[in-house]
Amino acid sequence: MINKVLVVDDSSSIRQRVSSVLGEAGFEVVGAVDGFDALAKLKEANGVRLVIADINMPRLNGLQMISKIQSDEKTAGIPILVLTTEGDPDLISEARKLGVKAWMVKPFKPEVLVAAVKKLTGG
Amino acid sequence: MKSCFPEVLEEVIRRSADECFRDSGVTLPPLSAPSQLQTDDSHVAGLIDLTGQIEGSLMLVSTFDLIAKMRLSGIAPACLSKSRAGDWILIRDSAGELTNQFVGRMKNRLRGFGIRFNVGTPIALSGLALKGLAHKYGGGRTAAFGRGPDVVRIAIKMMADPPLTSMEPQAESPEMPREGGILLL
Repeated sequence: MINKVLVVDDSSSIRQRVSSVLGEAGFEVVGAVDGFDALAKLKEANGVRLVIADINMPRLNGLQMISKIQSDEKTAGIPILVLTTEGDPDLISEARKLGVKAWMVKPFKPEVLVAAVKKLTGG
Repeated sequence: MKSCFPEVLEEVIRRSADECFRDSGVTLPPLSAPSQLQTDDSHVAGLIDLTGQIEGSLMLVSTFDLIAKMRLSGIAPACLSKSRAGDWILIRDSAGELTNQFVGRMKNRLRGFGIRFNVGTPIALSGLALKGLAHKYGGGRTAAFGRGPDVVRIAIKMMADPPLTSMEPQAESPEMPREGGILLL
């Protein structure tokens, strides 16, 4: 079965680039433009194995979205990788408390992203 | 040793820009900074609000062609055309993302000087919307980087200089990831 990854970023360039890199590595990628869109996509798309999330997004930001994912028993077990420009220790600490598994600072290196996604999905 | 915030900011902008452009595959040396941000139909820009110890906004302006060369979306420049509206939307978004990544680096570097601020979500601009806003950035702090027709201009409007708690950057925890890096939690 192909591993499905949800990429949440308000930048279409980032969604495009992540989709391209992970697509070449054999993953199926679903995109969402913000936290609310991501929560809807998680309900629609069965079998999401990993969420890759930006932090600074309009409407519902990354940490607010992660909190909602973790508090819903249907989605609480999905690992989350943050992909952001932020390197603020306070935000990383908050993400750790929310159960985030990895924190990447943009711009990402394709080989680092693929290795992390494989590790977190077991694929 | 820097002696005041403007010197620190100038150095952080120069280093952040150099790293940001190199990571995007282009080398753009510093140019003398323009006093005005002049734009035409070939330009795209990102605009980001800054709040906290730095209050204001930052605008980064470049051209369709240079942003395409940076391949932020991963699409080869030869596959992008100025005659396609969809490609303008993608390039405009890429300019917003480049601005986001540049400001992120600035924020991460300035934290070492004890300066903390929050970053809004980038607004991508081109055409009349850009023209209408760019002229408001004249007289602020500006910087330019480029070679030949490939130029990036940056302008920052700030309410006031923030207090500096350190004139030299303080070391971050070794646990903090750098740009391109990953931290497993």
